[in-house]
Amino acid sequence: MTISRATLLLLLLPGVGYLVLFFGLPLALALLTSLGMGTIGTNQGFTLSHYAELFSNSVYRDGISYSLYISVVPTLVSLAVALPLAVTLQAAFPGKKLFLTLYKAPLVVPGIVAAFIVMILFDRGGEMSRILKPLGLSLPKLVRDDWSLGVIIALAWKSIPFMTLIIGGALASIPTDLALAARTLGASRLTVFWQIELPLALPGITAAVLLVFVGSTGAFAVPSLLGPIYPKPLSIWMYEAAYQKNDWGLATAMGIVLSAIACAVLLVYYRLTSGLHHATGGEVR
Amino acid sequence: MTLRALLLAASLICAANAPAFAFDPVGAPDFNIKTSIDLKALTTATFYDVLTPLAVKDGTVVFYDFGESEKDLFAEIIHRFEAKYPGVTIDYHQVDGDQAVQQLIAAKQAGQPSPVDLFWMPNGSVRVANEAGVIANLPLNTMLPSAPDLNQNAATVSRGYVHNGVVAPFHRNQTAIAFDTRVVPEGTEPKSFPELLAYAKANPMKVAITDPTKGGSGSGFLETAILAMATKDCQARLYDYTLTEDEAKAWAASPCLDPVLAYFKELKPVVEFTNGNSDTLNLFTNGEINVGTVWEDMVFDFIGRGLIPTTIKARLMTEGEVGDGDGAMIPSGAVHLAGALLFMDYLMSDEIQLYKLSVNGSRSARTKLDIAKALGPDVVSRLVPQGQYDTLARPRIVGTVTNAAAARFVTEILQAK
Repeated sequence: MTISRATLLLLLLPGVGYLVLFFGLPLALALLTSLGMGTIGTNQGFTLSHYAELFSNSVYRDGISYSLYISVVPTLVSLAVALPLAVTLQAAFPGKKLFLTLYKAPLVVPGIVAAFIVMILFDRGGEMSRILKPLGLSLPKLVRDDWSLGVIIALAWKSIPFMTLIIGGALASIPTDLALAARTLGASRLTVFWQIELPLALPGITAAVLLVFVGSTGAFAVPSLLGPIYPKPLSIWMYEAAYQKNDWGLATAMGIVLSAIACAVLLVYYRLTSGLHHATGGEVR
Repeated sequence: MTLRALLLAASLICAANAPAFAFDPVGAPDFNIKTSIDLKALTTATFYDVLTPLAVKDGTVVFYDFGESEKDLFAEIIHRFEAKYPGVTIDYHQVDGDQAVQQLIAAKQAGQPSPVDLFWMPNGSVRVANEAGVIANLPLNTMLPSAPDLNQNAATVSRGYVHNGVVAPFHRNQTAIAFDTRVVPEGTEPKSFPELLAYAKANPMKVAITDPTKGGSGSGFLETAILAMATKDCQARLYDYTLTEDEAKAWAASPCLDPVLAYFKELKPVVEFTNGNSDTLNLFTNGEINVGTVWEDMVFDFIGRGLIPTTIKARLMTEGEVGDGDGAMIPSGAVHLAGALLFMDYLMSDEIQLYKLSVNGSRSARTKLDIAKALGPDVVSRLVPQGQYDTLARPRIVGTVTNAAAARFVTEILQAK
């Protein structure tokens, strides 16, 4: 059956139209505003001054670096916990059903609530400090600290169940026959994991990593409450530029840079999965 | 009849007629608000007679409250207002102040009427809102019959920005130094900048300074330090409201700020910089700090709600400390102007100004208010001592200087390892 070009376009219209209207158009408007030609704020005519300010001001440059830091580190921490957890959850163990329900709890907790939980538990004089004090123990500084440990804890706590779900799904889709066959041929459990399961689950793992990374890039509430007073992530400077200085040109330039970082990671993801696709003869896609 | 008697009679006649002058728009030949009310003919003498029937006819006034903890206060104020003016109801909304300002700007740019008739707004957003033309150019500093005695700086300046009276100073607050009397008995607290530094060095991490770029008590502390440490020549420009942004940046880049930054460099390793006003107070609650920078009204409110111990007291530095406030304005696109003006007038009245002081520790810009009526023992214990407030409270310096100074603070103090 052949479909006419017009019919095809009509069929595509709802999906493509939605993307253009709610993603493409706002992004295009933001880009135009960042170049001084937008409808938000003062129309200055074409200018690169907002980008120049963003990259020439050391405070904003530190903001970009810090945004990357609080995206990469919580993602790696989440991966380090989620991967073994997802593997463990493939096996049967007593209480698995209850655990499967409980570990997903952070998924329904908003980021700002997660930040308050970490603050109440780990701030100076918080609950953990009070518990440990009679034992003569004390916590390192976890809130407003230079390494942003509190931020990392809160963001990773939110991301681990999400990542585990995606990786668990990828692992579950691998035929068990493969692992069993490898085992009968003498491969250890660890070898099966490294040589068979991990490569086959890699598309799911990279997707999870990508989504967590992108989600953390724009984190606002968590670093605002738990982070050091300097540096601040670009999301906080963006809010300040837009809402306190009414400088939408600078704010949208920051938004475009954050989006560009996310897009760059997306491209790396496609590059990675494309490489895997070729390496495995198209099986993993 | 003696000359003295004649002069007295003339003075009395002038005084009786003084409030009855008509009002002029602020900064323009015409009012920027569309209304059927003849604003140029309105006087304080005709204020209620003209506006009350129109407000009743409109029926509703949409009111935005940007505050985080004034919901109960406004519930009571609105209850009293609606009882005083039957037929006029207040449609109350608690909003995020910065976002509401953007909403008003967007409505104006779209040619739409304002979604709100009266907005109690954050002082830091007055410049943005006024420069975007969303504030009605009504001379609120002179046109409200209930508030003839406003402190003129408070009534015409918001966070160092001169608005010339288009924002009514509904709420005044004061930055202060708080201390926990369980560990710092009254009388032994640090009272000046040198004493604070000495205390911080002797008690590392027991003093919290709010981030000057994030919380008003921090930027107020920075301004107070500037007032205390800048030389006389440098201080000459701190209340020069004609200062341009470039001039403010030049001032902050000059040696004028050096003694302040030198002070902060010494302070930095021994204090905790916090992420906001509440963050500082939370450390008091956790018993982790003994001294911190605060807003007086927040201390009052937090003690009242049991969020910090009653042992926390606030005082002003002997060098003087800056205070400020958040005002209410009527947007240029407001559609219920009569009711908005009546409600504004009520907010500034003796009754409400005293009530909010007793309930929220919110100071007043009214200079002839008999505040002794509101100062019961519980109120007094939660406020800065009145004698200190009367003698040591200072207005905030020019806002552009503060911003430029805060920017230099970030690069030279916070960025430095």
